[in-house]
Amino acid sequence: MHSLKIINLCVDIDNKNILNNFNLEIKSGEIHAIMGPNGTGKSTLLKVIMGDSNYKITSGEIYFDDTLINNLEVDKRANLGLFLGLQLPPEIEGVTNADFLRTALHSKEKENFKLFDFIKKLDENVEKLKMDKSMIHRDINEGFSGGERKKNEILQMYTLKPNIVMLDEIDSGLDVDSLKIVGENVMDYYNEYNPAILVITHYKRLLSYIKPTHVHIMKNGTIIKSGDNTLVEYIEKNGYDNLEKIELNSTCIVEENKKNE
Amino acid sequence: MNKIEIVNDNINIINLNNDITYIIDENSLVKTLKLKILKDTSLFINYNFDNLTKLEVIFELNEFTNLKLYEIKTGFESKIRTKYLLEKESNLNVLKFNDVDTINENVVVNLNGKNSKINYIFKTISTSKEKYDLTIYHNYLNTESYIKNNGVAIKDGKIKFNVSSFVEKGNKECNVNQVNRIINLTDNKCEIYPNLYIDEYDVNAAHSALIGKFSDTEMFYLQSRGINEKDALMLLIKGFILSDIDLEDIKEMISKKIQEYWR
Repeated sequence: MHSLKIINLCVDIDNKNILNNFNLEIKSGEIHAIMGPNGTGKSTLLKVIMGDSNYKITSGEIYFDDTLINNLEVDKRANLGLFLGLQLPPEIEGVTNADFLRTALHSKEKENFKLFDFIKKLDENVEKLKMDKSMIHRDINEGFSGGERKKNEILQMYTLKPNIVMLDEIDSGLDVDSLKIVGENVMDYYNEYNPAILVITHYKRLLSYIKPTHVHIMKNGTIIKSGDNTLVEYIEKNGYDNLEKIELNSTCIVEENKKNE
Repeated sequence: MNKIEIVNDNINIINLNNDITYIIDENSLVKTLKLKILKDTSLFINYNFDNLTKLEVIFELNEFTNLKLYEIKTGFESKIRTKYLLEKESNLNVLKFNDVDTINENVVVNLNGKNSKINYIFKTISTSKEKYDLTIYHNYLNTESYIKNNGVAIKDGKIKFNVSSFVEKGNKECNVNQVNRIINLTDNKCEIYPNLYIDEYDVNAAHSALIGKFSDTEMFYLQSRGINEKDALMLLIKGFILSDIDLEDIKEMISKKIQEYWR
């Protein structure tokens, strides 16, 4: 059982406040979805949890289990079991996917790393994600379509087997078939390895595959509402306007939804 | 594959088939090796310098010939001049790697015949002063040059790429491309001059020059998969230097060099 706990987190970039007293706790077996208007700090939140040094934590704490990770290097966070699937994974010239993944897994498993097992598993996962086998030997994300890049992120997740999975708009740039493959594979991973999942999305369609146990609405760098899956329906129909002023619980949301039908 | 070993200015012909003829001129100021390419072939030249060496190497490609050329340079101080002369419909693919301590290299490309083409890929790891002057003359219609210079400066490394492409009026439909990039891991000054001198409207031309470190995004991405900073840097350097290299032996040799530097 693992957990990620964020307490009163405040984050600045270029002296501009992005996250403001942000609080959240997620545990193994839970799927949290964060929704919210553009520019409210959702992607920043995930990068800060992963340790991106471009952002400055001005106050607050991030714990992985009982370990304070505020000042931990990015690679050490990853080796603890944190994983961030990026919205826009970069292209890297000359570094093949295979070299990248082998180095990453070797960093995690050290002397327990077995090349044959790595290759075998990689082949299986590539097939499972319906990826072209040649992509393994191509440079990271070079010439990949939006969908291929997102599948590549999920392939990395499967290879590294993280305990805390963070997915930043993993549905953007995906066609319906690719969305289904990505969504179903994330759920297969969830069912097999019981991680905690934190997913950011703007759309309900992803959450029809990755079914959240908790839904949060973020605005101005903090969570303004939390609830269950019914909150997604509410947002889909009503948007984010004035949400912070409305008192909602599950029943209320269902009623609001009915009213709008 | 055809092979020549050059140690300082001693030229040893290891293996040359009938597709290539050669002359060694010892009477000029600088010792000169002239190679004439008669048919499609490939050639590997290994240079090693252990004292101050001056040398000129000239490649002449006959009409309708293709040459795949691999050049590796290691060692100390040297001043090298290389000329590539391409006749009609000839095609030259050059893949060069330098791991030298102080070099001043002058490369001249003459695209003399219609549809002659050069694809020039150069990689270097610089630990001291390296200066490269590369001049490409598009002397005929429909000629094509693709020049890629990648350098990594480490320790006391200092790289200067001075790349000039010329197209005179009347030489229509030429393709002129330059991609120059230096990863500078030192506090030294590195320079790129990506010059285009074009006196003809009907030409496709592009040039780029970039000096800097690897991007934060690339480093963050690799580290976010559990790879430490040192290994992430090595992975990026390997990628930068080894991309485009298609011979496994050369790849392995360069990989070992990179491992030595970043051990």
